[in-house]
Amino acid sequence: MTARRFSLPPLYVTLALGFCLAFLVVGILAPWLAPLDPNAQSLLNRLRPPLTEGHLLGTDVLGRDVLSRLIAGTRVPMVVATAAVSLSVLIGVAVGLFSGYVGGLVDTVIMRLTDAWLAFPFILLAIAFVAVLGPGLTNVIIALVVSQWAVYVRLVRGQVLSLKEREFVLSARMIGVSHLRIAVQHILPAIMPSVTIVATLEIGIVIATEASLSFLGLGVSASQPTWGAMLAEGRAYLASAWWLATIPGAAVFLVVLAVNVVGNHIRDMVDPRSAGAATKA
Amino acid sequence: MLQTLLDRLLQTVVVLLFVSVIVFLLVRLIPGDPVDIFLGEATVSDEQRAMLRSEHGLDRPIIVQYGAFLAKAVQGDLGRSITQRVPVAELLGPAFLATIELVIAGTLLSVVVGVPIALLAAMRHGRTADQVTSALALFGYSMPTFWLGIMMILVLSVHLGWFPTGGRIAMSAGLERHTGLFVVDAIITGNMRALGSALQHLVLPSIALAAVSTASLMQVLRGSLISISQEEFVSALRARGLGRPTLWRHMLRNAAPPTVIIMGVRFGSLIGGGIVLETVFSWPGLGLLIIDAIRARDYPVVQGGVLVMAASFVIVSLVVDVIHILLDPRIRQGEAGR
Amino acid sequence: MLLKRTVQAATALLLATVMATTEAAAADVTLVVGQAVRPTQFHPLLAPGGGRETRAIKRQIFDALVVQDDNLRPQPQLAKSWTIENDVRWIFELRDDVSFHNAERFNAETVKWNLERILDPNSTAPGASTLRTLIESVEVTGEYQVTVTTKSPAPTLLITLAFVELAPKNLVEEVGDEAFAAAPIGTGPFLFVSRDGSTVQLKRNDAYWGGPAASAEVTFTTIPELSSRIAALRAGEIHIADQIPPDQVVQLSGNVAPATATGTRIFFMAMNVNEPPFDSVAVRQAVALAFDRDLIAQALYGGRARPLNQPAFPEMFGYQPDLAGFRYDPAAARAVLSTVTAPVTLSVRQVDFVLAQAVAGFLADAGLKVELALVEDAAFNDSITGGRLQSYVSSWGVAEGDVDAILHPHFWSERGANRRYTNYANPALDALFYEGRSTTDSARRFAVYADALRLLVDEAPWAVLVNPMDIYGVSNDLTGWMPSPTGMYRINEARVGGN
Repeated sequence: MTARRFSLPPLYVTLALGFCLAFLVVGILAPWLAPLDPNAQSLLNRLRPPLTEGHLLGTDVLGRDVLSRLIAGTRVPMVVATAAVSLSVLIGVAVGLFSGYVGGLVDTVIMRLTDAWLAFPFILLAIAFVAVLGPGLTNVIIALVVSQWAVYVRLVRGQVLSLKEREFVLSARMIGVSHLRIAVQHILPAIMPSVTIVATLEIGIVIATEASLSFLGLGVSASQPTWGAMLAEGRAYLASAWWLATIPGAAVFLVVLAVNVVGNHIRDMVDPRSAGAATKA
Repeated sequence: MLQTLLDRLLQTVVVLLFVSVIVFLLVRLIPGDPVDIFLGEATVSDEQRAMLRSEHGLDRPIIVQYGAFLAKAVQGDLGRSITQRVPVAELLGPAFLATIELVIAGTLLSVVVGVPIALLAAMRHGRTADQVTSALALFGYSMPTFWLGIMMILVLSVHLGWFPTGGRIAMSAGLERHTGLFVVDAIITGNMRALGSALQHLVLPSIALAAVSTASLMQVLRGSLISISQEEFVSALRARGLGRPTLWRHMLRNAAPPTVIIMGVRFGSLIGGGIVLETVFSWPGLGLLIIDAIRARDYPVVQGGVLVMAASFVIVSLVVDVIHILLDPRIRQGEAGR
Repeated sequence: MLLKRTVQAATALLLATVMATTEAAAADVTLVVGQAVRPTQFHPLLAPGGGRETRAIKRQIFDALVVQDDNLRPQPQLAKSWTIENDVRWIFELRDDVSFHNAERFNAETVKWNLERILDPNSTAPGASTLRTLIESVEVTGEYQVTVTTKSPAPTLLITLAFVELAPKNLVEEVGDEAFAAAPIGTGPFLFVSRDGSTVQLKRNDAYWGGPAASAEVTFTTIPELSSRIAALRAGEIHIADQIPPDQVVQLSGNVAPATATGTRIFFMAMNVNEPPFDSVAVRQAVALAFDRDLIAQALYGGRARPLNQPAFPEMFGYQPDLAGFRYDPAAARAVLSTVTAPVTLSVRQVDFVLAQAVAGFLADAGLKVELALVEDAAFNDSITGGRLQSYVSSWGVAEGDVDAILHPHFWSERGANRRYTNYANPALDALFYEGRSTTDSARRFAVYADALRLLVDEAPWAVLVNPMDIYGVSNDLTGWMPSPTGMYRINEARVGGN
């Protein structure tokens, strides 16, 4: 299947890239940027709407400053997305490379396992894993890796199957290069572009999934504000305090959008005719 | 082609077996057990707890429990709910149909909205309309579904009161159940009030559900149309002086296979992917049932529910493959020539 | 007793007449109750017995020997009256005009069969553990008289029986438990019609011994999402919505209104006495001093909660109005807590998250470093019953209305491996529990619990916080309904469109 990608005017891309960078910077500098202590409560100052003096984005159920919590909340999606996506790529690529390269029965078994894994509703997998392991940054990352790695196995394995019959691989084998070397030095570089493209788009999915996990109460930590948890808390106050659910949700949306804009652009540049249906989403 | 189909069926069975093992183990690895949960604040001695566990077979080794589960499952018996004491199938049936109704509505909506927009974008390739469409697709793609749902509830339900905030039908509509798909039931029984209510309840969740699938449909269809328009046979047809409508019909036919595939894949994953959305809209589907069952550690319901989800995903992919073969002349010829 | 019966009979008769006359006037609209939690199953002799939301439905279908009034005290229901001989022989006089919905007669044999099934060592019926420790034997001493002999004087027998709904012996034996669970039949004011996922449909029992209910049909439906529950109420889809948080009461205006009842839930912060720093009484006492309970009740609950200074609320038997109890002294709390260097983990479930955050805020103000851990419900339950959490915020429902019902399960030293909680145990407290459980003399019991509560306040394994009210949203179309502290919907007199 061939598909031409969208190419957005560079201005959008620049803006999106700028937004992504800003997100990273805010995530790293969060403790110094927040105007107030994100956990400081003031029970007499609850549910103040945005633009209240001293609280640009209002206060929440316990009178905490929403803006400060939003800033402090950038950290979790940033860390989770980076860690979960790189680990999934690492595992997925390794397994896919092995499976495709070795072939035969091993390949069949691995691919059936992967199919089963992909048939499992992945949000359920994440939920189950967090439930088993308990909440916490590491466990959420593990749960996301567990639910995402199989995507890369499929992608990589398919490409390896065709690559290993190509001339440059065959000739390398002929002159006695070891299998490991062929896999790492010859095949791996050839598949990295498509992996990079999928991984960039997966960042958006992972950020949204982390938010859904927090939203379902299976998030990173209760002491650390996260966007998903803020959204979940705010949902009960939809009618009386709209800003509580709106603001963190908008933050998730904007970051995912920016990442996707950049991801799409990278894809267009690297491989204008890449396959589109490689990912589940 | 028959051989391929048989292979795929066998694979399906293997996949489901894997899924059943995974879910069986996972649900038991989660701390907390059904007996402790349903006892809640009841005063119960340790002996009685042990007795309740053995009543539900929870004291047996996991492998024995799994064997018993599998032996029954192949006969179509998924066991009894621990909390509600009814056969799991009785709970899964209506919930599955509720999910299917929502997914069908969402998919229809994506097709109705996505196809014309993709056509428009492809015709105006590179112009403003195309760029606006692309931006829209990206928006839809990036929107966290549950947040979109919440925002629609906030604006359209809470503030404007146009749509209900959740649920599937008004209790007072007095719908008689036949198929379990409420819209169909309402039409069959001629209950206009129920039809209105069912449709009204469907609007917001299906829009939320359709956001992402519309975006991917638009992307894929538009991409296919554009690349087909540059292929030789199109130029040939154009040279023969075919009118634009006919030309586009030909192109649409050729762009159909990848589009059907992407919609099929989305349909399959929506069955399992609507879990969070069902929570947001209190939609009494499979996802909500499973989430509730996980909370109550109602093992048989979780196992049955996840199996049904996985099975629908696998079967939908199978069907999509078959349709793909039937639709795509190139593949069909390839098969015949072998 | 005689006077009471006469009054009851007269009221019933009067109500029946009033209803019969108003009945014809209004068209029957199904009364719909929207509950937050999905009910479990309804067979009284099978587990799970379910929580409040399940009992609320069960109690429409079934009756028990006694029923709790709004002060949570037991009143006659299927037992018209009772007398106690020698402190251990309870002679119950039963109603002789009661039939099950399938026309099976209710009599002494029914009661004996039900109780004996629960007492059977192989039974897993709800309440079996408690009843087994109380009851020695059950005898039929007349067609409508049953005599229950207790192992020792049992002050809590009556209130325990209020939680034992009675099933028809012959029918259950004939169709079996699973079939009965799918189509339960009782003596209550409503008949079970059907259950479809989260919706349970009931219809009026026209032959109800207490007179027919006002509504011909009642439906209980589960709407877990708060905003959906409120929206359904406002749209007239449901007429009663339960579990409205105080923050949302502002939304209940126009065609709907809030209705409140005294709540029976006590919220507390529990501390594991085996783990530092809470192995120190001084630290626990300091924690108990750190909370401004009035502010919590005012700000977090909008005034719809009572600050508590002891693990009991005023309607409970054993509540001590004169006890000094827990108080707020931030300076004293800070003096001790600021010396604790290691951070403590405070665990909580999603439902109590807001309260726990407030608790953590007060502790942080007092100089204690607190890490909040949000734990999924079932895992939380597992950890607290195993006594593995350093500290946690939770609550306990005391529908029984007796101090024993909250203290005994948490602090009796032989409460078992499944009830470790704070790991607190104290022989002095055990002796008090024993004494409180083996006398039917109310004054004596009251004095015993005064000692027990004072001891628990001093030792502070719990820092008790508040007792919130139960808030319901009620449609203005509904007449004749008031919520009850028992959480059981007394919907016999309620109807939609009555005015």
